[in-house]
Amino acid sequence: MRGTRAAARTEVFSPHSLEAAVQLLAEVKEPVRILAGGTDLMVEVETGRSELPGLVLDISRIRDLRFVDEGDEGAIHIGPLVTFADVRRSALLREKAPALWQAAGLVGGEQIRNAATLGGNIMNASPAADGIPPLLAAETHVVLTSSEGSRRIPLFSFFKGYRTTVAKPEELLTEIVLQPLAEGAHAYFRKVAPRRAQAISKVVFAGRIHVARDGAAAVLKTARLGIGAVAPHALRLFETERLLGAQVLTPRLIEDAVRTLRSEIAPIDDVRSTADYRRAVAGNMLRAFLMAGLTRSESGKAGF
Amino acid sequence: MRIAMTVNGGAVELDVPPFKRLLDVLREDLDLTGTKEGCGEGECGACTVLLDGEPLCACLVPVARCDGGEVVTVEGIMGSRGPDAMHPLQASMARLGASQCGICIPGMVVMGAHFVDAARREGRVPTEEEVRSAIAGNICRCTGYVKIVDAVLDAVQGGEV
Repeated sequence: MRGTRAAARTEVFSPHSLEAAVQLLAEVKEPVRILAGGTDLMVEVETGRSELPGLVLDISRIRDLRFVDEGDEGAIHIGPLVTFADVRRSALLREKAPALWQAAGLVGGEQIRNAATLGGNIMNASPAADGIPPLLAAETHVVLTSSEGSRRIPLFSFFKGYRTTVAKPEELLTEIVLQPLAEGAHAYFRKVAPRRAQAISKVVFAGRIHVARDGAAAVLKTARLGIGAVAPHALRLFETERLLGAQVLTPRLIEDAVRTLRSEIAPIDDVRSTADYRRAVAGNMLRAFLMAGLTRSESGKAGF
Repeated sequence: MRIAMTVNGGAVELDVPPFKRLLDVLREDLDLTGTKEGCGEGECGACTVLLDGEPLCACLVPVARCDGGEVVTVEGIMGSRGPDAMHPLQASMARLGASQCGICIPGMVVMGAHFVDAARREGRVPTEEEVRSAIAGNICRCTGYVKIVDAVLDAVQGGEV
């Protein structure tokens, strides 16, 4: 019997408030699965990769968890139930988080973007999630809430391993907080997959760099890099960032950075690609991003 | 679980397991077999329906999600311009021969009609690229995309191209 029918006895609790949701998670003794957009969970259950427990907490009716706001401190606050279609409709995200906005347009097709949520993309913790590298490059924190209160965790330390996170069973993801793209900085997003829509990434990469002119030299003030599908979970590329930080951007530095990136990741062979291909492509993406930065800066454009 | 929803304009009340897929509820409980199952994993778009005006894959929607909602299937697109009247997209598809084996067509019709209606509301003619991107979530394994795209553009422009 297919999974969604085998789940005939599963009960669904669909509260309208966050309080009721975290209360349920605090009180219930049995395992609970959380349902947001359903695009991952339904496939998992239908294909028999996982069984539904007796209770599912459907958070999709909690309206307060679907918002995109600019905070007083300049950070951007996104509710976990914001769908990829919502991301595409947000002028704020288009301007201040362009890599995320671009990634959202390449997730699934319109039917998937209408259902799939950014919070679900994070909590599902797939190493190939397209939404995560842009968030890593935007220095994102996530807020986890239980009946005891909230805690804030940098996204780079949120993933523990393949499809696992530090979130506790009684916690819900309630907010995604990212930094806006700085004035003069430049964002990049690239996904390599067999086709443009409805495809799982072989490699997915996002970055932000800030290049400033110092006389004839292009100085890379900051670099923030996130990558997916090349390790058990999405990674912030700290070693590569460290190598690049506050350096004069030259072709030689770029090649050093490409080498560092290739040793910082841990890709595998699987049905979608090979480790060698992923390592090669990941490096090429970084090179393309940095070379564009160098060219733009040499062409005399202020910042970029 | 008791579910109350509107399907193609009519009120429906059912007692079904909450995790039963909307796709199965439509086909088995409501006898609306126009909606097809292709992949069952949200990859192919054959089961596309509108829920509260938005295209979704019915194979990825647990029916609990539809309680209080409004569902439109390909059968509802058929009647949307009067009893037994085809939607302009359906007329264009028929005239231009846009259907081959037919499995993807119900999904293409729902997705395409949604797109055509939006373009007509906004009073603008989309580019071919925009049409292709709008139906990117609908796979046709006959690879009959050219005529489908032509039909969508034809319908947006009133079927007189």
